[in-house]
Amino acid sequence: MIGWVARRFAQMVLVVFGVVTLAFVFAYLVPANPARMVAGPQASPQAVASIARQLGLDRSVWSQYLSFLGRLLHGNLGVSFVLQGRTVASEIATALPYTAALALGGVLWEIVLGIPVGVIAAYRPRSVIDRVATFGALLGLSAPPFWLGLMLIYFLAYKVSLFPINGVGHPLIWYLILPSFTLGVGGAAFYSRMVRTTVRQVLRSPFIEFARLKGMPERTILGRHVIRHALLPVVTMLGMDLGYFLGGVLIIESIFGIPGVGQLAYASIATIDIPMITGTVMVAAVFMVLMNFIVDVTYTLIDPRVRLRRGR
Amino acid sequence: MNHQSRRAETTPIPTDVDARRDPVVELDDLSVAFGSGSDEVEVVRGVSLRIERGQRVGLVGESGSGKSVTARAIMQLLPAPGRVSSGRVLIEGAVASPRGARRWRGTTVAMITQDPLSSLNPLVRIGAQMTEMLRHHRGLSRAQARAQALELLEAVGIPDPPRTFRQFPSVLSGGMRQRVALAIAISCRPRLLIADEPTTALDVTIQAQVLDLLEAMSAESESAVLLISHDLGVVANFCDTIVVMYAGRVVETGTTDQILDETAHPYTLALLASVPSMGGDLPERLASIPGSPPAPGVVTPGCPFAPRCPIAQDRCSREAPALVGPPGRSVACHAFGDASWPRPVSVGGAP
Repeated sequence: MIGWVARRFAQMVLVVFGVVTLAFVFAYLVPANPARMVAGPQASPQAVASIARQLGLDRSVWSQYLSFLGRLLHGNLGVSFVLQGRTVASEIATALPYTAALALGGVLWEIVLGIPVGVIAAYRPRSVIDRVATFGALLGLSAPPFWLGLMLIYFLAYKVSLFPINGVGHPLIWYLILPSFTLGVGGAAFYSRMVRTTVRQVLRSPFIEFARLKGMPERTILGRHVIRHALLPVVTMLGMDLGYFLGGVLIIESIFGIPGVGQLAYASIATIDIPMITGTVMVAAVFMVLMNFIVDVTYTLIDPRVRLRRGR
Repeated sequence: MNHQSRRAETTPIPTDVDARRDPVVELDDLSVAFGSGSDEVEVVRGVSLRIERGQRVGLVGESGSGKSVTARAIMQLLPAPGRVSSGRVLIEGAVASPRGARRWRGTTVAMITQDPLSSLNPLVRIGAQMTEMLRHHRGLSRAQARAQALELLEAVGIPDPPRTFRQFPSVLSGGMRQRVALAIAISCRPRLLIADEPTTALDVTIQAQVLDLLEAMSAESESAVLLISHDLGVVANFCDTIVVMYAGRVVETGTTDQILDETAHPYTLALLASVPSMGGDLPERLASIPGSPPAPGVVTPGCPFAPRCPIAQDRCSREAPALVGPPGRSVACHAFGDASWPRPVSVGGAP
């Protein structure tokens, strides 16, 4: 187990390193001069060169990359090119709480909508509830988030002032209901189908028959014997979703005006703010890798047949 | 809960076969069908059966003969499109229904199934799978249920009960899992234990152990047993009464001695011939019954066994023979009683 964790951590560090390096390389491959972006379109070549020197852009890519890695090893993500004097870490720290709250909300919607609907549909196949759930899942899966988000804003925030239209405020949860729903509804639809399939399958298994032969009430059978099996695939997907959401989902953040990591990343790409690009990419990569790890550990807690071993 | 404790105090019932005893379960002209309308397929047809306290009844037949479906009909747990199409099941004299089953399922009548490898939930500890039943049916506390479960594990011959209690089923062998399943099934001291092919999935050496255990446990808890098997040899060693089914119908009933020594139905005779005997010389090949049983739902006007029967007459393919004889000893065959019938048979004598 300890060997497995050590090995796994080494892999995680390697993956994050690789992703960050790629982000760095791509940022330099863009055929535009970051110094020009900072200086503005009217700036003289001398001013641009001076800014490039200030930012260290006049040095070779290798030298820049090595000093970037050196800073990273000290936990320093660097200073923004564009936002004068602001560190990447502080910008991310400001944006991350919004993204995290939105991500948790999205996952929460996935759970509270997806799992119960899937279970109920599985217990009553071909019933009215099942058909409604199937139709709802089809809608949820096929509705593009930008369209759904705009529809929700138009009807529930603009026409009927149930929710705030845009931005963030106090209490935050109030401003995040529509965005997180938009974020989670696709996953919820997917989970409801997946849970329905798994539960249908589990209900046909011999150990469920045996539990019934034992005279256990259906509620206990669901709670103790069925749910665990239904949760196995859901746990994997939820972990991946959460990892992805925590990286910042730009489309949701921009529709609903949430100043999260996604918007930060987008703005930094638009201005070729290289430290900010690598910083936000690194945050996304770290969350993805970390959630993967958590999923694997959770799996062993639910399913005793899965054991963590070196070399897996 | 009260009747449970009272049951434990009852004195052992006499083993005298002639003694008139209370029936635990009765099947009254039971038919089971799958589907409906023109798609209806009747897989069990007019089965009547009476299982008395402490009795050991064997239900024998080829796969597809309706044995397992009969067992599930007793438990009121027929798989999805299946339903009791006519007749009824009586549990201790009361008509059984799926809704009322919580009063007796698992307590008065318990059942273990064929596949011990999959009848225990792989994600739930053995202990929890045992105690949930004790706690639900007998209202035991967590500690009481645990103590009781450990005792049961000990009784079924699990080497280290506290350890097994904590373990998940996947670490146990098939034989051990069937022991655990048996311990669970008898944990509420059922009056009838239905064992549906309990040894089919196990190694031959383990089979004997499990059967011995089944015998010991049913004697200890004074349960009647309905042993379902395709293997007449297994059933003959274990049961005092045998019911032979073919194509969803009962074709012969009798005590084990009657079935073995005074076999009345050609199908039973063919089954007997296909069981290798332990004593005598092994034949070159084991006898097998030519042909195959009719597909479920195929209804012919005559006897369903006629196409495979060595002594079939014209009449056999025209009209179906009725099950005749007193309760406990009956046979459904036209040839029976004819001069052409080659075996010395007595039906109608003392059951």
